[in-house]
Amino acid sequence: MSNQSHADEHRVVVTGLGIITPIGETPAGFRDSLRAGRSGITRWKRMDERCLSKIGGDLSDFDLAAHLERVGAGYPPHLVERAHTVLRATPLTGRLAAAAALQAFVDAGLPNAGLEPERVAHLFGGNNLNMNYFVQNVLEFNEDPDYIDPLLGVVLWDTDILGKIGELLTVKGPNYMIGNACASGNVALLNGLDLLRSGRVDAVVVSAATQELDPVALQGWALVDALVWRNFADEPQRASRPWDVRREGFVPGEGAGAVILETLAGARRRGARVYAELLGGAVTCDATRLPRPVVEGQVRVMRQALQAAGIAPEQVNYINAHATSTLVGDAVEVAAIKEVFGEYARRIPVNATKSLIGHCLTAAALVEFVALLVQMEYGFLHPTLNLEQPDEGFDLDFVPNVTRPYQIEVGMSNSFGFGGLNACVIVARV
Amino acid sequence: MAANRREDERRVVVTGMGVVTAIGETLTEYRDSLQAGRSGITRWKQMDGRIYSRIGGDLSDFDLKAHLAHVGADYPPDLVEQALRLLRATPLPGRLTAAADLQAFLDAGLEGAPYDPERFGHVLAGHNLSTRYIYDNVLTLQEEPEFIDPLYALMFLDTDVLSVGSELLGLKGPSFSVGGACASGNVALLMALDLLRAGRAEAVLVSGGSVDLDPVVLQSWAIMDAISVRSFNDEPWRASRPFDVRREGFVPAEGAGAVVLETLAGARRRGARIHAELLGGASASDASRLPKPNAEGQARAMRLALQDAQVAPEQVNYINAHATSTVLGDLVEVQAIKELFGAHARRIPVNATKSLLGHCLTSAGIVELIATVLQMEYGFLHPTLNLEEPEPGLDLDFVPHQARPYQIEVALSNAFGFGGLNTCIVVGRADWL
Repeated sequence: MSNQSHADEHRVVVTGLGIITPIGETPAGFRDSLRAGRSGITRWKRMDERCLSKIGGDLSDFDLAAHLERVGAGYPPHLVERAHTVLRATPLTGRLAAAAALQAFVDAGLPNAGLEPERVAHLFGGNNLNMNYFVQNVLEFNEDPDYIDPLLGVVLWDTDILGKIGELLTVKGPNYMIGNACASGNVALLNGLDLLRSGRVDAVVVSAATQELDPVALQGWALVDALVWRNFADEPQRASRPWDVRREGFVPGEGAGAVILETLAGARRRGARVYAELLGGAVTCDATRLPRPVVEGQVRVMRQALQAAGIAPEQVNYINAHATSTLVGDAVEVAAIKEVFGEYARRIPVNATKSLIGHCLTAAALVEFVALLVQMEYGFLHPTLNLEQPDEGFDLDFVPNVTRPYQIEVGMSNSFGFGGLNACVIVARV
Repeated sequence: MAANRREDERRVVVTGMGVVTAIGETLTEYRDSLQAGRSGITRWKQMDGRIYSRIGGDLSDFDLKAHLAHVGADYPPDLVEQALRLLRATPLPGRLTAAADLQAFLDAGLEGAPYDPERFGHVLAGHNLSTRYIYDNVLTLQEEPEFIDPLYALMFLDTDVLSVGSELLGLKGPSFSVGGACASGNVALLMALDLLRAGRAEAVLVSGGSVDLDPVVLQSWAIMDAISVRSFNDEPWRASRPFDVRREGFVPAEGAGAVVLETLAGARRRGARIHAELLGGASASDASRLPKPNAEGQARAMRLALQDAQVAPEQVNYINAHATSTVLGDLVEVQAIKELFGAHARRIPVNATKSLLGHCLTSAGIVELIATVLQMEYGFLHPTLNLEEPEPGLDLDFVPHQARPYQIEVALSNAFGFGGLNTCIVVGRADWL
């Protein structure tokens, strides 16, 4: 499958992957868990008891040193050392993002590729990240204003993560954050694509990590019934159930993902291994501030994505759905898929990675992009867990409960953020 | 006159602007304040008394209804009504930014939607905007966990500021927020520039999101010695003093700005009034996590920006400096300017809008672009306030004390964010078009 309308200098490919979730901290580990249909959802390990939310994908005990010990055998020692130094006083989100970015960077063979640092960019997808850290410091401040963390002034701003990853990987090109709520990762990928096509850079590190989940945000989401809290507290693994009749809301999950994007020409020049081609995508807005998903908006973004990618609907043979396990969200997305793909919709397998790892919020799109690539690379589809009884009218092939061998040729990945922010990307096997 | 070799569909112009700041909530008021050299820095009006920080640009008592009554005589009544309804329960950043968005939209003559909304994008420069709101709710959670603001889960997100602006103005094209610390404004302009050049949108609203300053963040900056807390608390208007020998840190300020960007071709097609041309820009990073400025990175950003704009250094005849009034920052920026421009540096006036407004943080790049364009349009340079004694070695023409008549032809607007995020935007006069 190739995109004939662009020269190799304008075709963008993925040359490296990084992933950290409760069910895998390398692409191989992640692959095995996806194939086994393993859930990463548990009771929160250390959350304020008064909070209504009790379950989620919990990485609060992530130990960077231990992680590097486990996975970093093939990493250049100077990068491991630098990671320890640079990330020392960093809240969870930054540590996860940096670990995933480093993983992808090494996976792509970039430490020895001789790329000019000024031609390497870093885009981080996310907003409102160091929340828990801020919450803790507000409480400290309240007790005694002089006892806030001395580094708060630097660390509080999300952009601290940019500085750290930039220093770790020696990024001297553009380096910024793209925030689009749950659609952040997809927007960051598309901005990376545009950046490469503009000729400003030769490689883009795209990374994302969930905000460290704090009790105030969780309580807020529980009070509006956006996240599940009334049931399943004693069976956490059954709580994330997209399209199932008993779904009640999303299950928050911590996680991080990263990919390296380069032009096909550049990748070939340096003999890089190519995972897949990012054909293109689209970003649109519903002009509604309330979190009410709208069929028309989702249809539009999928259609525009197909157009931008130069792909006809019938060429798509897999969809990684946004599917958060909410009543309305899951329904709207199914309706939109049917409208875009018509009769053909029932022949496209559509699974929900969130059924395994929950909703990684601003990191969801990127983590699920990695899940798509892993399935494509290893020739299988992970199951949608907990699909015991599909709700009325939900009659697509959701790959329920059981893994299957399958070759994704062209995959679509959807993400629909709070506040009507929609993004969709299309990927092809190379 | 600069020769821009891009065709009209790839050239980007500014067709609308809006500001809500401590020195003006209309373009006219803002311009008058710039010309008069008026400071917007005062004592904090309602801030926790336990912190070291005492002064800043304070918009905490912003009243949207009063603002709209004051500036909105010519605003379409239905938009005014919608703004009041939509923003009623919204934290300060959303209210300030949406007010600026609306002003820019109307200034561009866009009511009646001459554009397909799906081709109208929105990029918000801003992150960590609503820390005050979060702060209040954290304390509420401590006391009474059931009484968190029901809309909290929506409104604490930076993207809510993006969404309210888009809903108010009906924008349905590519939309997202960008974060680059103090460089956010310029980063957003660069993203919008690239969107328009790539044909992904026909118009883009670029909003500079105002922060809502909370005591914890302010205390943290005081502890780091980043902000002015020692010498000027009794004369707040004297605290922001870029390039002066007594400078001791930046002065944080609330404030929002917004601009509408379109392609030159599109603007001409609909007969829009053009404020200025966004010739180009660039960003370059230092690969360093510490908030230490680096002359090489700053010079590189300026050089790449000029290249992107297809402008030679000798054609630049004004620089709107980043100049935050910090000991190291101001010094390094002057070094970078000298490194890039060589002998020509002394002939370029370089003023610091932050000496009047303070540091608007994530929206700085936008409000300072607007200051640049207004000076360009009205043929003057605003003064750099409080430059009583320039530090030895800082010997450029900083336009001290008083405004002067001057015609800017090509301007640079710099923004250098914490963590080595260096950006530069190049602006050209509309009169050439």
